[in-house]
Amino acid sequence: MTCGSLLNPDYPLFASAAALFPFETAVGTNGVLWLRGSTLRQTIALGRALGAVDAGDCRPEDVAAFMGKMDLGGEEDESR
Amino acid sequence: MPAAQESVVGTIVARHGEGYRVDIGGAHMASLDALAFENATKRNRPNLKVGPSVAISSCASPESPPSSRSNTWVTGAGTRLSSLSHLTCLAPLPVQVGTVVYARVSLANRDMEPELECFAAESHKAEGFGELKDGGMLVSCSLQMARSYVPHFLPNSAAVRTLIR
Repeated sequence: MTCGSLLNPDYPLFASAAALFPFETAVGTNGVLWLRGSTLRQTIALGRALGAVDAGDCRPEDVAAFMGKMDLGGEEDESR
Repeated sequence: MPAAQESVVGTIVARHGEGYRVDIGGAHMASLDALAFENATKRNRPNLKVGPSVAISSCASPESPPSSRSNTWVTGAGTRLSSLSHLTCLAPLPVQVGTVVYARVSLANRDMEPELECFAAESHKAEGFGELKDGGMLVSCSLQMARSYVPHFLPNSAAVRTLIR
């Protein structure tokens, strides 16, 4: 995975993740990416999923399934 | 080495007279004028927090041994992670980290430090650029091909910024 491919609107990673929960992201061409879900659990889950795609452990279209295995918690979040 | 008009994500690492120094992961720190924000005036400047250059901690995933891979990540100041028992986050968090900004490289020259601006070149509106909220997370990823993929793009909205050709 490259930051470049994340900027391609046809790249399935963000679409797959957005099916699970809404999030904000800013992709820099410097190889740094900022992201924020509505809860801390979601933020970290998405960060882990991006790491897994980067490492080749997960296909970009499968990030929803990858994050589905994590405990994303409920709507209320205790830590924000 | 950034190129002009590229969008970058950077961390505020220091404050100087008229602006900030921003770590954008290049060989040099970039400079960001305090007035290079939408609606910024001499009297109304953004107040950005200053933090260490990179706050790195390693975060091991539950299904892999910690040694096999680690990601660098940064969280906004003051977020609490102790309740997340399903993730093994090992290192302690820094007390304060610098504000993360989404900015456009306005000047890139081999012999000068890059300069950033937090508004769109044409409209002078924010258009998604600017300070990114606390509680976010920074992920680094490989950047090869980044420029060849995208000859020209603009940030879209505050929601999900995607490429517009």
